[in-house]
Amino acid sequence: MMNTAEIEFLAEQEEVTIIPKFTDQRVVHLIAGDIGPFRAGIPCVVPIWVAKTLRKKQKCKIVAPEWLDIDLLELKLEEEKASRFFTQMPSEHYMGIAHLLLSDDSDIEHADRLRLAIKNIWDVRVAKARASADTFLRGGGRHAGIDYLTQLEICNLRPLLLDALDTKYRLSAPLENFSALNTSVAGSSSLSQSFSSASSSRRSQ
Amino acid sequence: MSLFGKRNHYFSLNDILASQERVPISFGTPVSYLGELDASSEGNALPAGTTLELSYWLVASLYQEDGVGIDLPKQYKQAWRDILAADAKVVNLQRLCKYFYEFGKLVSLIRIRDHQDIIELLIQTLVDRHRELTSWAVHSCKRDNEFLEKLEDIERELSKRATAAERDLSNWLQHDGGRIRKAELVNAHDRLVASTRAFT
Repeated sequence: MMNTAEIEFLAEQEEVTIIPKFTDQRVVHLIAGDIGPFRAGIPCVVPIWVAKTLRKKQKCKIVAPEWLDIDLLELKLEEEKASRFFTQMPSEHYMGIAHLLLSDDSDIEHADRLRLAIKNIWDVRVAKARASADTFLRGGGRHAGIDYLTQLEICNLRPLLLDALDTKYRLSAPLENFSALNTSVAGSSSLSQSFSSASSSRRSQ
Repeated sequence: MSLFGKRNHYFSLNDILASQERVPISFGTPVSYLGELDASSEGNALPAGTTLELSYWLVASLYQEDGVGIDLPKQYKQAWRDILAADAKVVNLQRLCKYFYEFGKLVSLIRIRDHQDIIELLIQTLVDRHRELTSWAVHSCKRDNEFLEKLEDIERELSKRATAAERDLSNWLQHDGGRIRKAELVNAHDRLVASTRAFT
């Protein structure tokens, strides 16, 4: 089960364009790919974690990804509101990237307006996810197909939906798998069998 | 790990406590030596026609005997079924039965006739209350304990997990999230490597 910090870590692998303020012809070879060479003033694509580190040392300027644009996001919000289904997001980690790039001292203009736009999209999508989870739970279907949910949204939805589905399943699980004394499933392994027979003897004493 | 899976191991307190809930039972024949089960009875034996409320774990080992009749606990009877069907959200399950779902599942196992009805009641109640539960868990910044007090044991655990996920998210949005720790598997491997090194 992933948490937000781990998803943020994954988001940091996404690439972003930076404009370096220094020149270094050496190339850094890493498992995930090569970084560099850097030439002052010439845009260069690096993972976000490199960009953040260089930015902290005042050695580069981060360029906003194309989709991190007020008009585009507002269009996206309208599209998301109009659709019954989830629409495709410009990035699998839109929330994570926005959170990483739009910190208080960000290079990107209108950071607070962008943040608000992203938050609006997030709210619409999460409300939609919750409503459809509830419908699914009521409908009692066996499967549901959802496209374009991002990892962070899944992470947010998981405890609400999966635990409830699990509880529901356990309640309706067939009779023969249960001993009369315990709601745990017997017979899945010899260990649990001996456990449940031990518990029957314990409780009938 | 699933909620039920974790709850129902051998030493699970919730599971043991759920099987302590009382079930009405009536004896059609006299039962010798069980007089002490009924505080109001005199003598050693339970007379025929006695009606008692005994713990589930005792009833479960008696229900197949001749002359023993089992009644449904009141919360699974028609009257409460109607109330729960009308609006499950407002019912105080904590007061009605602390282990409503788990105990219901147990009772359904010894009342084969009502098995399907009880299971349907449990699922319908869970589904009806779930929406309220999630919206409470998500907006729990305004701590509304009145609602928490209405929740039954499993529901409390559900809401606790939902609240924890929500808190994780809002912490991450406000600060920089927590630290990523090594997986337990990696830790175990490291320890193993260290201990083999120490012995060679």
